[in-house]
Amino acid sequence: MRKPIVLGTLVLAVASSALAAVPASAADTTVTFTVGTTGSTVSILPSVAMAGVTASNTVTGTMTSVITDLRIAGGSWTSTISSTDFTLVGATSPGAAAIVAATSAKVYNTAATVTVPGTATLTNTHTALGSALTLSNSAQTLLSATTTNANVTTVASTVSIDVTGKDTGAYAGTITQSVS
Amino acid sequence: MTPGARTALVVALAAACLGAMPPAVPPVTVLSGLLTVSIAPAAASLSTSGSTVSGTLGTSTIIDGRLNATGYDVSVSSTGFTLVGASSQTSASFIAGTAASVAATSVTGGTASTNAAHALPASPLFHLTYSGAISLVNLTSTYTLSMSLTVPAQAASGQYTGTVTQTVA
Repeated sequence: MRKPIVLGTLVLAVASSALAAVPASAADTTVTFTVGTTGSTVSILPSVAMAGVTASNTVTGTMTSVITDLRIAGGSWTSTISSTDFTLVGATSPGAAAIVAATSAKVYNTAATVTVPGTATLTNTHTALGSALTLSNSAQTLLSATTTNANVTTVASTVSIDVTGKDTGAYAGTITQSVS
Repeated sequence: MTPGARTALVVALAAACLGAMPPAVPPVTVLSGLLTVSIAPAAASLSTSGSTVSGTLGTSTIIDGRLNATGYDVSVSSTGFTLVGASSQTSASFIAGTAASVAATSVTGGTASTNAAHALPASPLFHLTYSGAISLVNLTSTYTLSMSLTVPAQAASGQYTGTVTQTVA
C-alpha cells in the first residue's frame, strides 16, 4: 500500500534535478535618441568676402562654405552656385572693358569634408581646374550628397577669373551659393 | 531569446486508487521549467533635453516556471550608441553604453532589492523576492525600466541607436 507514494516522491526529485540549471533568459530593446540641434532644414554659410589675387590675366581666390543639414532622416542635398558679372568699382556706365562676365569665372572644390564620414556621401565632380564649373548668372550644381543622418560638410572652393583685356582697377561682383 | 524548451511533467500520484475503488484521475501540473523575460515594446525612443537623454524602455514581464523559485536577479547591459550612418567609430559618432544608467520602477509580483539607478552594466540591477507563499504555478511579475544618459560634448548632432539587453537568472 505504500509503494505508490515512494514512486511519486522519486518522480518529483527527478523533475527538480532536471530544472536546477535553468539558463538565463534575455531580451533586447532597440533604443534610439537624437542628440544636438536637429530639424528639417539644410543651409549653407559661405564666405562673406573673397579677395582675388591677380597673376597675369587670371584672378584667383578661395572661399570656404559650411553646409549644415539638420535632418536626421536620410535624404539628399544639392548645393548650387551662380554669379553676377563683375564690374569695375566706381564706373558709372561701364563699357565692355569694365565688365567681367560671370562666364569668365570658373570654380572647383579643392576640398570637401564631411565631419562624420558616412552621414553624407558626396558627389564632387569639380575637383580641379581641368574639371571646373564655368559660372553663369544662373544657378548650377556644384556639389551634392546623399545622407543618412544630420550632417555637416565643409567645402573649400577656388574661383579663377579670366580678366584678359579688361580695364585696370578693382572689380566687384556677388557669388551666390544655395543648398536644398 | 527563449532557451530550448524543457518541460517537466510533475505528476502527483494519488495513493488511494487501489483495491476495488474506482481509479481516480491524478492531478497533473505542467511547468515550463523556464525563467523568461519579454519586453513590450521592443523599441524605445528616448527624449533629449540639453545634454541628457532619458525615458522608459517599456514594461518587462517575467514568467517564472521554475520549481520552488523564490526570486530572480535582473541584469542590464547595453551596447554603445552609434550615430546612424557613421562609417567609422570616433568620439564624435559613438557614445559608450557606460554613459547610461538604468533604474527599475513599478515593480509588481514581489519585492525589489532596490529602485536606485545603476550605471551600466548593472549586474544585477536588482533582486526580486516573491511575496507570500511559493506555489508550483508559473509566477508572473513586471517592472518598468527607465534609462538616463549623459551626452558627451564631442558627440555630433544626429540620431543614435543602440541595444539594451535585460537578463533574468
